[in-house]
Amino acid sequence: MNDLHSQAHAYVIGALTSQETREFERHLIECDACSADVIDVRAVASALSATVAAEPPARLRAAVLNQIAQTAQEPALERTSHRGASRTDKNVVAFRPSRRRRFATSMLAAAAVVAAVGFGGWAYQANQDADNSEQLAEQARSQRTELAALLSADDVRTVSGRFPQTDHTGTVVLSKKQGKAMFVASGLPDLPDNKVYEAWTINGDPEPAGTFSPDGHQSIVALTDAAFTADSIAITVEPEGGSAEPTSDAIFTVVMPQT
Amino acid sequence: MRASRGSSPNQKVVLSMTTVTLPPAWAPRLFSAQARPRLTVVTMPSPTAPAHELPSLMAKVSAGDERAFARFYDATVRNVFGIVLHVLRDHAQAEEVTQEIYVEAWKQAPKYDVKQGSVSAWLNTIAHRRAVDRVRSSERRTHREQRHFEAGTGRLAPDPLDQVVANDEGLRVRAALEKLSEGQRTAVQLAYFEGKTQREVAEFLQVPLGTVKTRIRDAMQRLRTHLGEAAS
Repeated sequence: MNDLHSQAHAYVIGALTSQETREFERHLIECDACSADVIDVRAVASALSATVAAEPPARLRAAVLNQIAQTAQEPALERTSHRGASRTDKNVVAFRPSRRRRFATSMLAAAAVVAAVGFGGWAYQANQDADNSEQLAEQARSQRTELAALLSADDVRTVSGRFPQTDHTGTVVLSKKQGKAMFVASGLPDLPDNKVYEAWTINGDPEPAGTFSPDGHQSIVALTDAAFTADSIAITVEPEGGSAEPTSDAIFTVVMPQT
Repeated sequence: MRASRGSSPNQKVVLSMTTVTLPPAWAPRLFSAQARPRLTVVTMPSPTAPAHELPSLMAKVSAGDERAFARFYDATVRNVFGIVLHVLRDHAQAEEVTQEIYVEAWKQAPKYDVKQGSVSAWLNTIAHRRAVDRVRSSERRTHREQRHFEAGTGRLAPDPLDQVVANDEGLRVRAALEKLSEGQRTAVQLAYFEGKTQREVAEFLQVPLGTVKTRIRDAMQRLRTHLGEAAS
């Protein structure tokens, strides 16, 4: 463990093997000190690029601008209504697919999750004193272990979106090889006792994919297998126990890439 | 003006002339004083948008503003292209990967979170990872090693990138690198700029892995201290 703590610098400058990188990212989930280190050291590593600055050819600028003009951005979020007239609009997938489906390398994507989760981990621990329900803590630990295992899959994919109201990131993590999909978010507000968050897989009509309540500031929930084929994943707030179909607007939507 | 505080008088010369050949304060890619060639430094105009404008540009980019993205590109591309070219050492591949990086940045921009670091740190992290991923992808690597290591000597072939673009920031960072020990500098050099793992660095330098780990950690900590001082 001690050795892992000293790896933040090597991790940031890309000096770890892919196996070591996965191990360290698993460690990051639970170590707030290392998460903070990584952000600090990234700023230093980033500055190194200035020592080798080079002028690219002008044609590159034209090529880049031409390509981005034809490429859809990944949505930070999109407001969705599952109820009423727009229900069949499928407006959750209104974004045109990009011409080239190239997503972040799993390493990069996993790092984004790790960063998000890392902060959640900090908040989680800060809240441990206040919330001494041993059972909840145990449940949270096992979810984090599950998530860490999922993140270490060599075919792990992640898709992130934002919650508009709270400005937090939510991420869907999937591995076909492990046959597992999870949703993770940090900082979601606590709900009244009679409410839960509910995840939905949307492929036409929304299907229930799992309910959850934040533990500390961290939310992790296993999703149904439908996550692998869904056009998008959404989160709503539902009455305790969850609903068979959404009874409120989505507070989070992310479009799933086709693979 | 930052550079005028630099320790080497040569650095002042750089700023006042268009092109000047001088012994480098820190020559990238080279391992011993004897092996350092003379380095041509070319001064470039400052990027069109200064660093402090990046957050507001980024906000527009995140909202899908293509014109803001063009300015964002102009403000950042020299560092991005520089690091990619330095890691890959192949102009055509560097162009291709740089294009991928900016398309990725465009797509991911709405998800950028300031809590995870500055805009340039975010972009340069994407850039460095892409470049290292590319260099580690199997057959290209072999090809590259063959191209860049002189057979039998274990030393790097002459660097095609001895001509580098200098700017205030580059000189400031270079000054900080100059304050590292030779061993620390070399370890960072091989890992960050060449995409080697610390194990490969240890093998290359024929020193224990633990030594390389320590050098990398100490180097990054010292750089952080020196860059922090220079900025204040």
